[in-house]
Amino acid sequence: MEYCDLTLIEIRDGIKNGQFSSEEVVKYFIARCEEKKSLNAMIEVFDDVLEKAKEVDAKIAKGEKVGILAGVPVAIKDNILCKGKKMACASKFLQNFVAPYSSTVVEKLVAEDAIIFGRTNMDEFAMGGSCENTCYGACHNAINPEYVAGGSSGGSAAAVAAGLVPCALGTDTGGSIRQPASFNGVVGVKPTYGTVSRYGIVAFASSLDQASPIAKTASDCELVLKVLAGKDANDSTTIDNKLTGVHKSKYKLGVCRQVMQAFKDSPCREKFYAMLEKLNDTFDIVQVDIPHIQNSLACYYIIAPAEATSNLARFDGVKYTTRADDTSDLESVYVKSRSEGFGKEVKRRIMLGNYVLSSGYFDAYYNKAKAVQKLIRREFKTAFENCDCIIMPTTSGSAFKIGEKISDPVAMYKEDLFTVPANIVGVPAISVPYGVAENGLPLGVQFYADEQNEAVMFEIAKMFEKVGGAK
Amino acid sequence: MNKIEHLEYLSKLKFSDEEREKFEKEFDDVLAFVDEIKALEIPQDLGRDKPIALAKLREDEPKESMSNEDVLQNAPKQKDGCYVTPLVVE
Repeated sequence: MEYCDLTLIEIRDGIKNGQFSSEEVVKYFIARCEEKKSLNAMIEVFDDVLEKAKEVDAKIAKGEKVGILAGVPVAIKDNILCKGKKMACASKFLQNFVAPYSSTVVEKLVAEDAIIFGRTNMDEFAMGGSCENTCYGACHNAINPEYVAGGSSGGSAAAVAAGLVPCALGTDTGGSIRQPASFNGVVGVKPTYGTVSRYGIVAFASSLDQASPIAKTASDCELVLKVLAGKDANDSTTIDNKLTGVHKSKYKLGVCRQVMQAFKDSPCREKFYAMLEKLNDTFDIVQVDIPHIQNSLACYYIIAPAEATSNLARFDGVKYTTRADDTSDLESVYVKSRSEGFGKEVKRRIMLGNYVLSSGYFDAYYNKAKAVQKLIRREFKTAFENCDCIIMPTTSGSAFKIGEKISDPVAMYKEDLFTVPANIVGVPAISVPYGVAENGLPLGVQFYADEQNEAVMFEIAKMFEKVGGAK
Repeated sequence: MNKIEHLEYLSKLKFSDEEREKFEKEFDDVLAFVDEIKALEIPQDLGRDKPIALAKLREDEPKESMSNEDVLQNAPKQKDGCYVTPLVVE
């Protein structure tokens, strides 16, 4: 059986119905990871996966009650803690770190009898859009290894696309799940802010970060998100998002005028419009306005570094990172360890964060960005009065070549134009593959929904997979 | 102290002269890119920030927390259950 051709739900059902065992499935994916090692998507397959799979098989054989993900392998991004396992955020600074406790998301997966399969490659501290800023070496695109996997959850997306695992968790602060999902032709979702607990996940920008699944289908993502969601005493920003919504016989999709204006020079424009054409019978398509949506990007590159600079202050060469040699006083422990430990992009964001927060610039940058964020939120609210979901491209083009944008930070930042608004506004969005670009690489389309309206977003995404999605 | 050196000081980072020169150019490009928001006009009626509702706090019941050993397991230097740093107070 080629388990890599099955969806997560098919694997789950097969194990539950006794068609095959979790052990067989896990063995298959271990071999598959070995075969596709050059992709550099998986950093490590955990050493206890077969043992855990056998335990689940034994429970099923005895007729015991098992969780809704029983026996299904799920990989985690290298910034998510799993007790007793290494976790490095793809940084040489954390290369010796072993998680002393498990994140809430891992606990929830384990409670449903999923097998925590291993760690996936990422951009260091989740900063980047190509999965090239990593101490493990760049992760390659699953469709064409000359191209980037996207980022920062590039390893998770490439692993799912290459059939190394049926599902992998990523984190999305400005598009880090949806952009790599789009680049690799798989589905990635970012829920409403607060839906999933951030406890035990290394913080990048706390007011924007959300963890969530990448999988082959919208249904797979929905199932796993339902497992992850919920209020958590260890994260006071969590909300009780029931992931329900009001079903309608026909949904209205909004096309945002300002997004299409920004997309007008994209080489993929015609393909996107051709795809929209196909949706006319299934959905009502209307035009919506979000006048300041394009300013989300500048807001993001102020707010996210500001929060990152505070969050990354804890990596100081004392508590859990490596420490530089030849240090004479405490200050030099901090400065030398951080200068040697952090990569270039991480340093850039720390510096940028300190700049926008520093005396004399705080009002002009940080406070202004927070005000613009509020303005964009209001514009989204108005737009959602006229439609159920907003449809827009995930990225302006398909994946680019490895090395193409690495020395041009602004070009790399501009990649996030269509994904960042969901984080800035806090609403859910899902990226679903719809076609193939000129270079043979996949293209993704996003559906944005209003706060806590995930059920409608998933229903629309599932309908889309039937009528407009990539086969 | 120029702008970049000041930021290095705030960030507890130190660049070599060569790194600093390259960084400065890239940093200015990034600033030019985020500068667009300075010119935006914000409507007066945006209102104040909604206060964040305080999460319901858990009952203050004693329970087991992480062991000293677990907390220290990732420390680069430790001794007698404590982090080791260079001398701070003479």
